[in-house]
Amino acid sequence: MFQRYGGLLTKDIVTAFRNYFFLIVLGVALLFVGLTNFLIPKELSIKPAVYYYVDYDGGLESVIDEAILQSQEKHSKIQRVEAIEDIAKNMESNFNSLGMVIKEENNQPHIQFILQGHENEKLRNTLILSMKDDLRSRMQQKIEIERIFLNKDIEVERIPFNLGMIPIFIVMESMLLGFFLIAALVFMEKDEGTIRAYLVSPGKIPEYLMAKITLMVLLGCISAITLVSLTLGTGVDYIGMLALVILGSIAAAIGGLILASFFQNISQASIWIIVIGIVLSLPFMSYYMPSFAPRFVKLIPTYSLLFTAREILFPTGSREIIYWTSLGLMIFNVIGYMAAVAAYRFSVKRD
Amino acid sequence: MRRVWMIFRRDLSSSIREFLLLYMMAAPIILAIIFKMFIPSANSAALQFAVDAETAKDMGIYKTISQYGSVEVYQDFQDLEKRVRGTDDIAGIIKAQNGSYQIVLEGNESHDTKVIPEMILRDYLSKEALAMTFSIRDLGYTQSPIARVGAASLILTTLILAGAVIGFNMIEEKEGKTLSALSVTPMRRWEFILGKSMIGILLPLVIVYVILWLLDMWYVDKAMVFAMTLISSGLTVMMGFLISVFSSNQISGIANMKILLLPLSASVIGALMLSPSQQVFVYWLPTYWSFLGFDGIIRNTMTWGQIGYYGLWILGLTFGMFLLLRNRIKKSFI
Repeated sequence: MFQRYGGLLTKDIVTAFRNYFFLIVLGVALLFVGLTNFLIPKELSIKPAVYYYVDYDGGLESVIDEAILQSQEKHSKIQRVEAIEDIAKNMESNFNSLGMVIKEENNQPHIQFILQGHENEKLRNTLILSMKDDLRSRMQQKIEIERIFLNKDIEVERIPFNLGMIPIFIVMESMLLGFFLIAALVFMEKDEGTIRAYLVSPGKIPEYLMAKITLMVLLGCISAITLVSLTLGTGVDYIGMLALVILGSIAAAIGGLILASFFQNISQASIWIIVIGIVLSLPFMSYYMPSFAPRFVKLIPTYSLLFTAREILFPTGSREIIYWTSLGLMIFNVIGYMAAVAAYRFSVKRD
Repeated sequence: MRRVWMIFRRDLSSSIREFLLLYMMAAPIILAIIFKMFIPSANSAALQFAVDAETAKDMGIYKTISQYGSVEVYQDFQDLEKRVRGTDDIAGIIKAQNGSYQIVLEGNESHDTKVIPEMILRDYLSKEALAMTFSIRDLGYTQSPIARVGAASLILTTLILAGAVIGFNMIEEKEGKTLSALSVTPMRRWEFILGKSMIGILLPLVIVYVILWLLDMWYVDKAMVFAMTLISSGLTVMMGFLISVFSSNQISGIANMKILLLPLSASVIGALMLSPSQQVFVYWLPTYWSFLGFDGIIRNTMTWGQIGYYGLWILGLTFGMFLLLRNRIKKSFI
C-alpha cells in the first residue's frame, strides 16, 4: 500500500512539476512577498474625509478649534471649506466623506453633521457621541472608566496593515490552492482514462486520493514558508503555522475532490470553483471589521481560518481559537476523506 | 457570418447538453442571492456589546448602549467572559459591586471597540450637560456602498465566469485536435474566435439585468448597462483566450486561470483602496475600467461621455493584448 502511495505521489509530483505548479505557487508567493514588503502601505486609513465649515465665534470657539486642530494632526483628510455649499460639492465627488457645519444657535454652538445618507442609525449616534466626548474632555473633568483585560500577560501590538494581510494570503493562497488545483489533476486523469486503468490494478481509491492530497499539502507548505519567512522573518511559530496549513490544505483539497466528483469536466467544475471561491472570501470583511460577524459569515470555514492564522502569526493570548479550529479541521478531514472516497467509488462506477 | 453562426450553434447545443449554460446562468444568480442576504447585515453593521443580567436590569444603561450597537445579555460574568473571548470583537460592560461600571475586553480588539464603550459610559454618567447641540442631515444617497461595490464586482464575476468557460472549451478543442481539423477548412481565424466567444458575449447581457433586478437596482439606466456590458465582453473574450493560449491542457488551464484572477481582483481592490493618484498602477487592467463603469452606473453618476472614455480603455487594452499575443494565438490554434 505504501509503495503504491509513494509511486502515485511521485507521478503526481512529476505531473505538477511538468505543468509548472511548483513554479506558479512559488511565483505567486513571491508576488505576495513583493506586495507586502514594498507596495502595500504599513498604515492605510479608510477613514472618511471630513469637510467642515465654521461660522461660530462665540465663547467656545477656542475649544472647538483646538479639537479640530488635534484631529487634523491625527487624520490628514480633514479639510476646511469656505462656503457651506462646498461641503456637498466635495462630498458628491468623494463618497467616503462627511461634512460638518459649526454655527451658533440659541447662543450656543451647534454642530451639524452632513452624511451621505446610507449610514445607519447607530453609526450616526456614535459619530455625535465621539464628538461630544472629545469636547467634553476639554471642558469638564474626565470620568475615568475601569477596563479589565482578560489577556493580561500579552502586550498586544497593533499589526501594520501590510503584515495584517499575510493571514489572508496564507488562507486564500497557501491553504485554498488545493481546492482550485486538485480538480484539474482529477479531470485530466478522468479524460485520459487513468482512473479506470488504475482500478483494474491492485491500487485502491483511498491511496489514489491521498497522493493528490499530499501534493496539495506540499504545495501549500512551500507557499506558506516562502511567504512567511520573507515577510515576517524568523520570530514566528513556524510549527503552529505549518500545522494549520497542513490541516487547512487537506480540508481544501478534500473539498475540491468532492466538488469535482459531481462534474463531468473542468468547464463545468470551474464555474463552481470560482463561485465557492467568492463565497469563501466573504469573511474578509469581518477580518477587517471584527465587530461585524453575522452568524452565516461565522459558518464560512475561512472565517475561523483567518482568525486562527492571525492568532498564530500575531499571538494575542487567545489560544482557544487555534485548538477549536484545529479540532474542527481534523474532524472534517476524517469525515470528508471518507466522503471523497465514497464519492469517487460511486463516480467510477457511474462512468 | 454563416460559419460564425454554425460555431455558435454547435457550442450552444454542447453547452445545453453538458448543463454548462445552466450553470453559467445559475452561478451568478446564486451569488446574487447570497449577496442579497449579506447586504442587510453589512449595512446595519455596528459595534457589539455584552452585558450581564444584573447590568441589563438597569433599563437606562441598557437603552443607552443599544443606541450605539447590538447588545447581548449573559447570565453571569463567566458567560460574558466566554463571549468576550470569542473570535469577533465585542466589549463587555458590567456593573461592579461598588456601583461603578467596568469594561471587559480581551485585549486584541480594534480601536473603536476599545474606546467607544468608554465614551458611552462617560456620556451616561456625566451629570453636567454640554453647552452645545448636535444634529445630523444627509445628502440622500441611501444606496449602501457595500451593495454598490458588491453588485459591480458580481457583474465582473459574471463576465469572468463566461471567460473561464470559453477558455476551457477551447482547451478541450485543442486536446481533441478539432482545431487542427478546422484549420484545413475555409474558416478564418477571426470567425472561429467570434463564434467561440458568442456565448460569453450574449449570456452576460441577460444575466447582468437579472443581478441588478435581484439586488433591487432596477433604477439604473438600462441602456448604459447594456453598452457597458457589451463593451466589457471584450474582457470575457480576452480572459477565455488568455487561458486557452497559455494552456496546453486542463491542468495548466486551471493554474493559468488562478493566476489571471489575481490581477482581476487587484483591479477592484485598487479602485477601492488606492488614492486617485496611485490608481495609475491599475490603469493597465481592463477590469479596472469596467468596474469603474458599472460602479458609476449603479451610483447614477455616469455620463455617456464617461462610458465612451472607459469603453476606449477597455477595448484599447483588449485589442492591445490580442495584438501582443497574435503570434501565440496563431501557433496555439493551429
